[in-house]
Amino acid sequence: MMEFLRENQVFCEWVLRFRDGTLTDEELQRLKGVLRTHPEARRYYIELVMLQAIFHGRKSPLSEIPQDFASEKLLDWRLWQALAKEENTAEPIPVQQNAPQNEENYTIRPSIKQRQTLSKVPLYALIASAAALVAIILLARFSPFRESQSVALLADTFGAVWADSASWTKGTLLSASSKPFVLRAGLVQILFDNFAQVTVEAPASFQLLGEDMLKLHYGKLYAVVPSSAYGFQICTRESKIIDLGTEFGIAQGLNGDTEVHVLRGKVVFVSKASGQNISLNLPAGEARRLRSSTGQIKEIECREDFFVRYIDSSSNLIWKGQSLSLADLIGGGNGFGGGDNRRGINLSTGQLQNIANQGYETPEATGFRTVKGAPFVDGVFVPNGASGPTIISSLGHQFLFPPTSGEYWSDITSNPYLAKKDPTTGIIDYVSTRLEVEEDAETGIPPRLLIHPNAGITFDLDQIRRAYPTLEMKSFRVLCGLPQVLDFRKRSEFWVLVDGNCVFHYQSDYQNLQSKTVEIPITPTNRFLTLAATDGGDGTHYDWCIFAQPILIMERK
Amino acid sequence: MRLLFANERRIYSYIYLLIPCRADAEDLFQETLSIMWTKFDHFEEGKDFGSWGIGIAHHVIQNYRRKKGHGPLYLGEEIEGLLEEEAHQSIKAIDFRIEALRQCLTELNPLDRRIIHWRYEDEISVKSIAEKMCTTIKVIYVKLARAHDILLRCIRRTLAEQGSE
Repeated sequence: MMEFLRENQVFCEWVLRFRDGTLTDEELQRLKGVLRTHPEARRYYIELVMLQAIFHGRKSPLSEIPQDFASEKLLDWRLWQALAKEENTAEPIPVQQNAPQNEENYTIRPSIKQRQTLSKVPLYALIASAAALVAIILLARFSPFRESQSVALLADTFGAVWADSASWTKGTLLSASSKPFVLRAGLVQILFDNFAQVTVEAPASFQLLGEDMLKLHYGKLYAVVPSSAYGFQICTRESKIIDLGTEFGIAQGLNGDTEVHVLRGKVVFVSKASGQNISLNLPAGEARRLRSSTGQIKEIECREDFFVRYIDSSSNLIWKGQSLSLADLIGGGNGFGGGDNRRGINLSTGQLQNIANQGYETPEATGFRTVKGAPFVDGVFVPNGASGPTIISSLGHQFLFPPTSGEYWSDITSNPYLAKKDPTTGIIDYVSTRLEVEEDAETGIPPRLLIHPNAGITFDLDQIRRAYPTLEMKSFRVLCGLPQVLDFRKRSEFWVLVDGNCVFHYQSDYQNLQSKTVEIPITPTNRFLTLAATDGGDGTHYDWCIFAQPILIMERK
Repeated sequence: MRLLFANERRIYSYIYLLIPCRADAEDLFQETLSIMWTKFDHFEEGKDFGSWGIGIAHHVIQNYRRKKGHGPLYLGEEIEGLLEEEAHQSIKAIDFRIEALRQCLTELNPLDRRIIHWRYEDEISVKSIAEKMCTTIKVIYVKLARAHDILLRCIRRTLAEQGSE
């Protein structure tokens, strides 16, 4: 057990995070379990704390590190490296002369070769210096010691199965090697020493060629390259993709074809396939496919959701850049899929039902109900301002809604079909709740929440943050409206509240047939997001309030 | 004073082992020093000054816990008891560890050394380091874990070679 912990540094990471107060409850329980049962883990813990205590104390060995290291030299070096690369491709800079001849502006251009006579002594010295420099570079690049040095770390894995029963696990140091890694199943995340981060999807074969270079033989990968790794390169059989501060995905087929999708920043895409020399600058939002058999490069659609961009095994997160769906949460999913849209939440009991009930005979409910079994939902309520503010969160946030009938008709559900009962025959007809402006997704009607007045639901954003500590919520977006199938409108009101404050209110009425999209920024301190619908004062009949495609837009922290 | 300088790291390490919050640990350390100063007459010459100080620190921590209760960074009585019992030898040998660490810091690559420097010497939070490096908090923790692990292995190796462990 301890061998595993030491080799993987997971334990070390836990201890550091525990002492910084950033360990999740679940991780803390695991840490305690290991410390309780493994003397070697306790020894490691003690030694790690001793190390930290030494660093904290007076006369820490860190304070003795030479001043040139403590300065910004390291970053300066990277900056110069980046600038030098940029300079090679930069446009000429127009320069205004202070006292220009002929009163013209001048442009700096490459100097024109002129015949000059050179003294031979400095020339020999120059040749000797150049030869020495080349020797140093070659020695550094091809030194036999280089092979054994680690250049990256296996930062995370998700169901990874390697060829030849290899057992590289999270925390393994990876060296530049002549032998490729073959990933048969799952996902791995590699963190280079220069902070470039590459997520590889199986089946794939790749090779680390150095501290800033990876060769992809086949498979898919996504690279996130910060400024510290400017110039990071991915090579394939026929091409090379050079980063210029960016995020990009590469799909390499077994037939040699290569796809490059640039999602942020820009890359240089160089190909020598079929004897052609092609070099392209690809900015964000562009993608190309290289056919290795012909050397042709074709423009293709840049697909935002084609690559796994990030994994976090501790929160079971496989993230392709997608937003978190509130409809999926109601269906019991994790926000990124897996929810069952037939589920619903009963407003009178707060019970999560496997099949949502619709067509209640004018039930009434008061008070805030917490919801068990849906960890991201704080609770539900029936808004009614007739007797004062309504409690809308478990912490007692209140909001004064307009007076309503205090009745509701349906569970809150993510079901895209509404069960409409014919009053005379009793036959139930399932009616689409698609809004006029909506187009069907590949899977049918896009995800939505039916919040039939009078009803409200509050989501606990802190629970979502805890579940996905590596992602950050940027905003909430939703499209509010009544289904297209209704050829008339009742008055009904849509509400969006953040921590009890109204951030969006929209009233549909007899003339207003339009749906409305709203996007609200979410800050790290926001705790509760509330969606509610009220009857507009004319009863709940046909108030089919749809909160379509309700999503939290996420970004990597 | 000489005795105090020679043993302050041992006493601080003991407190920090049980109180992970650095600010609280430093407050308790100062309180311990102040009690040691006022009770110095009770110290019997020839005895282990560091152990005497750790004994006082133990009571200071107990009082602090009685007043403030257990915060979220509490591992529980059983685990703390085991750590206290087993830390004795490591705390005693802390000066050897410091010497070993001086050599071991050279084993880190410049970037890892830089991050350690930021974290401890410049007291920059992990979040701020992540922002500086345009990367994620998780990545910085992975880097820090690796750097600490390299140092711990190196210290163990060095102490074993010197026969100090």
